[in-house]
Amino acid sequence: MEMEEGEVQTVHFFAPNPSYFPLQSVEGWTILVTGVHQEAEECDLLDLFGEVKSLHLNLNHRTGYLMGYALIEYDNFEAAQDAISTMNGTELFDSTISVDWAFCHDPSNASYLRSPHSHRSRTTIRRF
Amino acid sequence: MAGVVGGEEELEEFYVRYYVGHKGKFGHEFLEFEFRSNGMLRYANNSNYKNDTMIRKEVYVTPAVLKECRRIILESEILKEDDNQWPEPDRVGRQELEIVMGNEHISFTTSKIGSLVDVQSSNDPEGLRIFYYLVQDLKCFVFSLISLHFKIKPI
Repeated sequence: MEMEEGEVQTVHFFAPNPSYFPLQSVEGWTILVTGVHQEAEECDLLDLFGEVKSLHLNLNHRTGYLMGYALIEYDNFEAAQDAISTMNGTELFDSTISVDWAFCHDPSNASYLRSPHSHRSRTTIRRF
Repeated sequence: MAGVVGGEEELEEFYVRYYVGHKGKFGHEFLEFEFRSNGMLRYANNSNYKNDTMIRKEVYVTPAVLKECRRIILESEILKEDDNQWPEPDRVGRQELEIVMGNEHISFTTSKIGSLVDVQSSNDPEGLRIFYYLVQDLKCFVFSLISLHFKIKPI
């Protein structure tokens, strides 16, 4: 189904810890991967996480190895959500990774939790 | 009310603030960021050089991001350190790092650190080295978060 730009759709999002509502970044949707093996490389993550828009894989300044986290940006909500639901809890080099959203709406404003099926969702999915 | 549904661990008190700055011919120039236990990440960067303006950004991060921030701090073992042998802030500048984790509330204040040479020549090279690396790792984490979310170059 195609939607007009700006049309609001109720989103049933998946999050390992569903106490918050994911927030869209300026140019996409950002997720956090933790538990990344310190000797993993960019290409290992790109192989696992598919079509990413950007990847930040920062180094530990003292050791020169990875910090152990990666921040990944996707163009669209579905791709980010897929990455979270399929990759969270999987193994990369004998290390279990956790994958979750990076940004969220103000958690104290939790009206969406009381009525998860209402049309008051603040997330606008824009297609095309 | 973070963690209404799924959270246990994010109920622990958590706060981190880092400031680095100086007052000079371009006024008060500084970089500051903080993480609060409700997930708010605040970032400010004021540079008056070439009429640059103040950048202020605020966004809520998820419990997963806070947990990673907490891990970075714990693994650095900064909580065992003490700043009383560290160089005092001076005309060149000032750094402050404040951390609240559970029952611990600790603050560090020192001068700017140009390089590891400054660390080695100080009275507490081991402690100052931990601070020096932790600050870089935290800055790097925050810059990645801010630049991905807002599409700005933080420095």
